[in-house]
Amino acid sequence: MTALRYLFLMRLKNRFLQMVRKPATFIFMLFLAAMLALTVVSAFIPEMEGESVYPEVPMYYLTGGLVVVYSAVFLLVAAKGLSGGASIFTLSDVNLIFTSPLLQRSVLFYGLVQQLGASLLLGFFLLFQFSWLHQMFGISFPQLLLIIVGYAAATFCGQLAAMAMYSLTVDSERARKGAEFVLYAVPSVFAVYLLVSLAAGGLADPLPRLMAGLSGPVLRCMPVGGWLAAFVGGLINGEWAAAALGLGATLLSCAAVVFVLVKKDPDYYEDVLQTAEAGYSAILAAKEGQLAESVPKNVKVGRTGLGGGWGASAFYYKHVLENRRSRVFLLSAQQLIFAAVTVAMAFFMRDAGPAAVFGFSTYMQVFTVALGRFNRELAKPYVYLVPEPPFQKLLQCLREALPGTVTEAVLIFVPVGAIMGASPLETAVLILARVAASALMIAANVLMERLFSGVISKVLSTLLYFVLVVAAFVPPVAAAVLTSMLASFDMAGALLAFSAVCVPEAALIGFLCRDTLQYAELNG
Amino acid sequence: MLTVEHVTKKYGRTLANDDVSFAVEDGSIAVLLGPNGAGKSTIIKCITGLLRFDGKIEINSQPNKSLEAKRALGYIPEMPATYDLLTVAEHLEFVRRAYRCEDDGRAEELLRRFELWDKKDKLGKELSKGMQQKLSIACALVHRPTVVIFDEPMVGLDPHAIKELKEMFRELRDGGACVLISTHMLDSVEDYWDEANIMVSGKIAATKRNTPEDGDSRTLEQLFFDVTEGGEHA
Repeated sequence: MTALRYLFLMRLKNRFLQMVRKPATFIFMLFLAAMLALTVVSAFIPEMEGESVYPEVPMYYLTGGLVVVYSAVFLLVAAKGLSGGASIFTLSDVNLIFTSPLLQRSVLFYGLVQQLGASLLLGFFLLFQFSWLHQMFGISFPQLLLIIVGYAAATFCGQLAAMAMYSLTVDSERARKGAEFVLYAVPSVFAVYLLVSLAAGGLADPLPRLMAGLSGPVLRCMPVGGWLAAFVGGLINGEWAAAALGLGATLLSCAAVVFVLVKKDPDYYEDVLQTAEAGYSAILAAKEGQLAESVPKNVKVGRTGLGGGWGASAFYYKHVLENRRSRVFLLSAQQLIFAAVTVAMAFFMRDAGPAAVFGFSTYMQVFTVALGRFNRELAKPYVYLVPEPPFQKLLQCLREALPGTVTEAVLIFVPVGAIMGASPLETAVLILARVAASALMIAANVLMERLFSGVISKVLSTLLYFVLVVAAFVPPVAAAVLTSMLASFDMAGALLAFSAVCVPEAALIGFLCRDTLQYAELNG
Repeated sequence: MLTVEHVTKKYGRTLANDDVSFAVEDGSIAVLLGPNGAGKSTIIKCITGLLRFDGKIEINSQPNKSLEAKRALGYIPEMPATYDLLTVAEHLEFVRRAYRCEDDGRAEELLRRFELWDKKDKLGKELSKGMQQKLSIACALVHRPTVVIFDEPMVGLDPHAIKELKEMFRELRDGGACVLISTHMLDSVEDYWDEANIMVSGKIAATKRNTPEDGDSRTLEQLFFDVTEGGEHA
């Protein structure tokens, strides 16, 4: 057995053993399996109850959606090649394998195989989308697996492209700018084509025409997201020629990139060293409980000075300054993406009503809730050392999240209200309920820090976090349900009851956690 | 003044500090010595209020968790505590504002002293580890603390900064502050300590005063090796 094959198999085996031997991981796996089973079963409930099993939404919506998702994933990952590069190797690989007498091509192949596995794991969360995909498009489970393969392939191709771009442009700023231009110009051309063809058709039925355009033959020619969507969508829809062309184009492009990597600059070790070291530093920081700061490569310092703050409020002014320098204005990129997804979902959920979209957005919020810089502050000693009351420090650390929370609520529910045909009053109530839910979510996160941040296992802490969030939302959801049942209130009344419980509950949790900043130990 | 009385700290079943007691007088420098894993950093973190413990710790006769005690305390952690997105000068401004101190020129004085003044507009993320350590020291001293705790302060510093820091230790002592320095680099403390506490396995295994009246004629280095290698308790 060659050294690389031995290394690959041993790492795989040890990863599996680690998963089985750690009770927390094992319990989490069981929990995920149970949730997955629940998702699958819930997808078939309408059929079991004898309801129509015909898909609600035309299939070209799915193909169009795949074009968007795969392209976005590919572009986001590939764009890393313009800054620090993306490495498929760890620092251990760099130190142990790169210095050993192994063929560089074999090492590259080893890295690619390993990355392919990691990319597949990244698509795991898509398994939980089975229920709505099945009910909307009639997707079967094998077809969902196919969608995941497409997602993994988009990630993998993005990694490969990032590595190639970094390798080819690292020595020349001009080449880097050229690569940047090409990376964004190509999808822009397709986007312009789509917009022009939409505009030519007038204003009627914009959504069906948009999705038809996205799933059309031209957009399916877009590298690499379009090709992969053609492949996956083609297999699902029985369009074999489109599937074969999509697969062929993807494989050819991958082969071309690998060829370029090996032939153009066989000594690619130097190019991946920096990113491997950066990746290792991030892992080390995570192990030490420090959150990796996503700092832009080139920070524009701009005006200097905090500009205010005295005592505990100095933390707030510091956070505002740090946000300006890291180019976070009210909302993070992730929050903006999730807001866009929620608005897009409103189109599909028009029949379900605004309350369903609110439920969906609250579910999404579990993953995007913004505590601002609070978590990062916990990793530094100042927040504990500063001679101010702990509760004051806690409030000032969370203060920066407030404007973003309100902005996010407006950004989501004004368009959602318009799409759903909600009245201005209903829209205002949706916004209020969203802000109230955000307050509770933030409080639940603080409670999580207070109670369980000492839990070293990431798997267990994730599990505990979900349990905590679900428990926190039981009272407001119960209030909403009871109000609508007992008092026959409409959606707005139920959401008002929801908000009326969320806000005091959040305040109570905040008060009970007021000593969170008393000892660093309380936060792990 | 700093007093530590019968402090015990456990991490789960691991006993990190076992009934530790010592005091550091105003206007003196105490060093905390010991091999890796002796419990030095744990007792430092208990003193600075980062960890919970059993026992009593007072800073200027106030419980170490009180706001008065925190106001009097300066702490330089082992890992430099700097923010990536603040400039060097903004670090000091932030600490000054958080401690409610007016700008009396102390920040500029510290930055000039540690050769950071010409880098005052550089971001934390642009500094080398040594410069981050110097900045971390400046942050801990900008509010003029009277009890100053250093955890392995020499690590990563260049010779000039080490010389400057040793000078700073003496100035703090001469100004009436009490200084506690935790280190495992014996040769770095030889010339300025007033009292040395040697920790082994979470306990104070030996205490030595740097005065002619001290009964033990061994050098600090000899005592350290006798205690840590020979199991002697003094």
